[in-house]
Amino acid sequence: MARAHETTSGTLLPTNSPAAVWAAIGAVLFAAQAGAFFGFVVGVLGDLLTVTPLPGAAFVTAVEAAVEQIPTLLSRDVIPNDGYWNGSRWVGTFLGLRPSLAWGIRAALVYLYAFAFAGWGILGYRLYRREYRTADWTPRDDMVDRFRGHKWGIFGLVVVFMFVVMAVFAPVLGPTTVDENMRNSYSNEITYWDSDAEAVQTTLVGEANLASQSRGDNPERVLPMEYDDFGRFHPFGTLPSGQDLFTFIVSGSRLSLVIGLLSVGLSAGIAASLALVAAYYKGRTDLGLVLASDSVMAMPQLLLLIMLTTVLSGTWLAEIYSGGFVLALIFAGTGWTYMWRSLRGPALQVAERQWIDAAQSFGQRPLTIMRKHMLPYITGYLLIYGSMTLGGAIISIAGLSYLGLGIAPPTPEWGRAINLGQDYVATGSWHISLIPGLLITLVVTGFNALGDGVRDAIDPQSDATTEDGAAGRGGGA
Amino acid sequence: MTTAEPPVISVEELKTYYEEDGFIRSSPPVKAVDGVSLDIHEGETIGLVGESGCGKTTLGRTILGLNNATDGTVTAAGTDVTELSGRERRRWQRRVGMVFQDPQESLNERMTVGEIIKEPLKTHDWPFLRVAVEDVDAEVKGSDVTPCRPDRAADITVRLRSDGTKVNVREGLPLTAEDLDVSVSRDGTTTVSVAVKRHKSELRRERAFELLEQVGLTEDHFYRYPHQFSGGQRQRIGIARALALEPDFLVLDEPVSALDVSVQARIINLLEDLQDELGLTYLFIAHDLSVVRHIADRVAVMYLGNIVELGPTREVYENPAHPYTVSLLSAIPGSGSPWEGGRVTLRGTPPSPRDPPAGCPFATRCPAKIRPDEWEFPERTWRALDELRVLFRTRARSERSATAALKSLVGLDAAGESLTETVEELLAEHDLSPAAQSVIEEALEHARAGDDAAAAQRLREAFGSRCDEEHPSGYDEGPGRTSACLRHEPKYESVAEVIAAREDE
Amino acid sequence: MSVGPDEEPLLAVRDLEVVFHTEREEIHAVDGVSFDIHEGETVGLVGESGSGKSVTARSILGLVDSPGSIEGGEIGFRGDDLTDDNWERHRGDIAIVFQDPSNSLNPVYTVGNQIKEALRIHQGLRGNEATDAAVGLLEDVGIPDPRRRVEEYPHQLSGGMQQRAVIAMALACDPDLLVCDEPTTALDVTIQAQILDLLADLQREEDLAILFITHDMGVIEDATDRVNVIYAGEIVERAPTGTLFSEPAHPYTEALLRSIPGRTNAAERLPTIEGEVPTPTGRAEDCRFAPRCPYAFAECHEMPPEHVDVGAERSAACLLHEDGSEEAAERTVFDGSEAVSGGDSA
Repeated sequence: MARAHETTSGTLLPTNSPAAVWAAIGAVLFAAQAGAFFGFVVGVLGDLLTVTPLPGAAFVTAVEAAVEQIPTLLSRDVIPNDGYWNGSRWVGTFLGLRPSLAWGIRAALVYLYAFAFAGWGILGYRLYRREYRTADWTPRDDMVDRFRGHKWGIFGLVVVFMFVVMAVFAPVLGPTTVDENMRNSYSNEITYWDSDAEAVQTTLVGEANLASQSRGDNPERVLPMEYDDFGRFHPFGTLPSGQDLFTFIVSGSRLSLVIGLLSVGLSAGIAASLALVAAYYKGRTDLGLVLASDSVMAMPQLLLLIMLTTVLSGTWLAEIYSGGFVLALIFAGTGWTYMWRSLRGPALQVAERQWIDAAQSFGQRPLTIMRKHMLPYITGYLLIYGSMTLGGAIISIAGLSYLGLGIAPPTPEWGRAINLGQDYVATGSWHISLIPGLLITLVVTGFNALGDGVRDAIDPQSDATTEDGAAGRGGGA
Repeated sequence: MTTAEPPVISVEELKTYYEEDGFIRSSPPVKAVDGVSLDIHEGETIGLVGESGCGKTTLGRTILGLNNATDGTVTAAGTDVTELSGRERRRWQRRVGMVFQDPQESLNERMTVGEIIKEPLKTHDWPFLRVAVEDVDAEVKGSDVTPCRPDRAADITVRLRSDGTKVNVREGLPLTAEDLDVSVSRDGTTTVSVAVKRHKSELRRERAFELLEQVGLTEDHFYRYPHQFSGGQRQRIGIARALALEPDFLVLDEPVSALDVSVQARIINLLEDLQDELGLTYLFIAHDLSVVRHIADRVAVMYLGNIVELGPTREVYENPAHPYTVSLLSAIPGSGSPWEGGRVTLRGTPPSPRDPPAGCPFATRCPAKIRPDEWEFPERTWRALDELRVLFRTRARSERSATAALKSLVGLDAAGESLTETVEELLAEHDLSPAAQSVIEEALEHARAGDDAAAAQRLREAFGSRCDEEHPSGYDEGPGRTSACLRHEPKYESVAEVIAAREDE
Repeated sequence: MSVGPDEEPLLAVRDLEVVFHTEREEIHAVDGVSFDIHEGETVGLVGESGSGKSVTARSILGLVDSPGSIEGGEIGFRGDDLTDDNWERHRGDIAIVFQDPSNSLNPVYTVGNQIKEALRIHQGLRGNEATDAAVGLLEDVGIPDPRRRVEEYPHQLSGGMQQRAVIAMALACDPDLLVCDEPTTALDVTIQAQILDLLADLQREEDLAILFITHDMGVIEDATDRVNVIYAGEIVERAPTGTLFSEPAHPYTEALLRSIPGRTNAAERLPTIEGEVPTPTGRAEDCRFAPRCPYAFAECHEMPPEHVDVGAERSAACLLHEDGSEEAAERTVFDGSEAVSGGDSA
């Protein structure tokens, strides 16, 4: 279907099929980090599948082990940062650099890779739009163009993107791993340079943690961007338990993102379906749904949460994502009403349009009408409210974890970090609560900004007036 | 078209009421269509005219199955289509098409023109590819084809001859005999297997291209979005979509009202051409009488859910029988108007379809209303009395705002005096006999007490006539002409005479 | 109403230019429009959609908003050029009635409230005085039971009554000129007749000048004294109404009249104009109607035609009327009996 290729693409390569080149680049990019991507997928699904009888925990562990074998370009093995000083130089780190630099390089490369991948995607879209698409203009084009010029929206998009990258590549980004530093800290050893003994020593990670706690002022703290006494680099400092805060944060981000997406996804699905049904059938159906949603809204969400979390603790449901799954279900089950309300208005407006009548006139089925003729017009609103609700979900999860109600310890979660540091806020170890707090604010602002950008981009006013250009063509009947 | 042939669609005493859709029904239903009977013959264009709120759009939609009928029947090919639902109704909707009024609104902006036109085809999995085997009783097999029922027209006909099998594909399908693989096996029963070498989606695309050309657009337009077309072109797309499934009958709901005059002319020409080419029957709904005059063979005039006049276009326009038709025609501005007499301006507004008048629906505004013999008033006085009745009726029906109600409760309301003032102003220059005066006083008493409905009733009792009591049925005013006016009874003066006389007064 | 040629016009529009700057292009919605309105007369401005007539109306009232702006010409009202930011001075002298009354009336305020608002601003009336004046206005526009109606909300009134209320609001400022932008297009034909009668009465009683803008030729014929035909931002013909309809001088006017279904025999095909109305994206370099004109010749595509007098108080912008052109020798005025090619095009 590709047309004969003219020079409009401006490709440097004199090629007949830019699409093939683009695809090849994509394949290379993906292959480089395939292990990490698969690791993410397995990590997310694994927790879910572990509790199901079929396929079972053993299967999941086996898959995880297999995935770890997949060679990845930017991994801890290729760019290690946990080496030790042997008196004259660094051993075991990337290119013999200091751990901080090695870590910095790895983290920077990960983000560089992510942006390169994103750039590749955008390039592909532009290529498709310019060369391969048969229609030379679609209604989406206007929206995309408007979003491109929206600075605040782009800011939001960038922040959200970086957050997602953090979640996907969490195991690679931290200076150490959750397994080594937190879960099995007494089964792992580290080597370090003992400045007193002037020799290389080994010790258990757990012991090292005990000696690196942040509990107040100097010297009982490890601040951000500092090394502890064992030659380990801590970009965000350490927790009161001595564990590395940065690793805590990045692995916590995964949970926040997954639970957030799950709850908002479910919410949006329920809300959109019900909104379409209410708008299509109107009358009694609509009235009934309004009553139902009002009743659900009247339920106290927090109380319900506490009650269900307590009741379900110990069951298999509470095992998934350390209680995060239950959270997601409760959020979805009680939160769909707000999104439904917001979507109901636009859905009702769409239902009044004449093309719905037209589709009914030649006997189109209701479900198809809802999908084809109504849904595209509320997706914009879905994105707006969805992105803002996602921000809200992240705050809620953090808040609940702070209160000790959400994710069960010791699973890392941003809210818990704040909780752990709350006693030290006024002391020298201020970083423990402040950093996760700032990050939450930043991420949620990012989501809201993204929502703003999308809202302005889909502005239905502009859609309607483009033909007469705001009465530019004389208006009239 | 002769009236001897059975009509293609027969509407009988159709009633479509809109009820309030809630759990508690507090207001009376809107009687959009209130007892309409109409026969539509094959190949004709029947115009349906009337002003907003008369129910013409609802009538068209009920025939199509978009609205549910409350009572009455719509018979097509022996079946009452108002009783159909679900799959049966969708089958019916294959055979009728509808063209909508607003070209900006009737096309989904997010779909390409090609997708819009193909959608009805996709919904019904067109083409149906019905295969009929002639002369021999045979089983038909094939994944893309269906055996043709004896009462339907076949798309593919297979003739089994001694010198080989002959395959015939009907015109209108973008398919030829070469695209089919027909094989016959005869063991015990004869089985004819038909395989179609082309994909249905391909056939649908071809059909879409064909339709685009039929309506005057080109293949290129298949890939574009409605947004990129002008109003007239979009209406063509709407027409193409309506014709996709090869219907016999089209309901056109004000198809040219939203278009400029020059574009309108082109679309009207297109519709006439298509009717000739495809042998279509049209129900043409419009409020523009000049357009209807041009395109329609017969015209039905609607008012408040009733057909008040029906007949061949030329005759109705040159010699309208019903007073409403007279007013409608005389209201057309300009020298292009078909009316040559003076303008008969109607007073007031049509009554609400929630509360239609008992008796003749046009009674409240009729310029030829029958007046009771007891009183001898000039026409102007009668008109003032009519206005008074409408005044009370409107008050009876209107809701009062909370502040106004409160005011009257507390006694701050000057409504009583203002009412007397209003009534006095209205009847200022009219010489009313003392008997009439006392009736009006009585009515005012009721109104001051807050019972406007009783006031209206009092006036009706005194000044009303047969027109307020009886709902006129259609009177025969010539071959194929009916008109629903009591004046057509021989004992009354004719409509035209009365109107002329009263206008002179 | 006959008007002496040397009487000062109430409104004198000269070479008005309104340009809309959109992302994609520059649209010259009004491109050199000139016309006069004298006191007490009704002037029509007729054209199809995209012709620029609504923009003209809005510019007279100073309602043109970005991305559009007035970029040339002048609008003279009693000698003042309104385009010099003089609209505030003449607020109240010119009023406008728009097409859709349900859009012109604020649904959350009563009708009386909205009329009183206008009365307060333009005549300084308040309280009971204002209410009485409002009731009087409603009466003037023929709304029955005005004392009751003044307390009602727009949705309680029918379309025709709403438009009457809008006219009452316009009259509240005691204007000298009433601009009506498609005032009856959204109304039924019998209600339209009532409104046209009302406007004619009001004109007589209040000595109003009316600028009547519409696309409906029939309404123009009945309601106006003089007509301007506008096409693609330019006025192509000016004439007294009766003459325009019996002897159109411009091919576009002729074609427009032909397209009206009422003027063609029902058995015949309707004559049509090929092509589409162009969107003027620059100043005129040729006759904008030339691509669709059945009488066009070479020069028509090369230069924009100027207005030429073709009779008593009438002019047309068509090269066929220029002295010295060969084609002009053959015809000066169309008698409406020639067949225009009746083709359809995409």
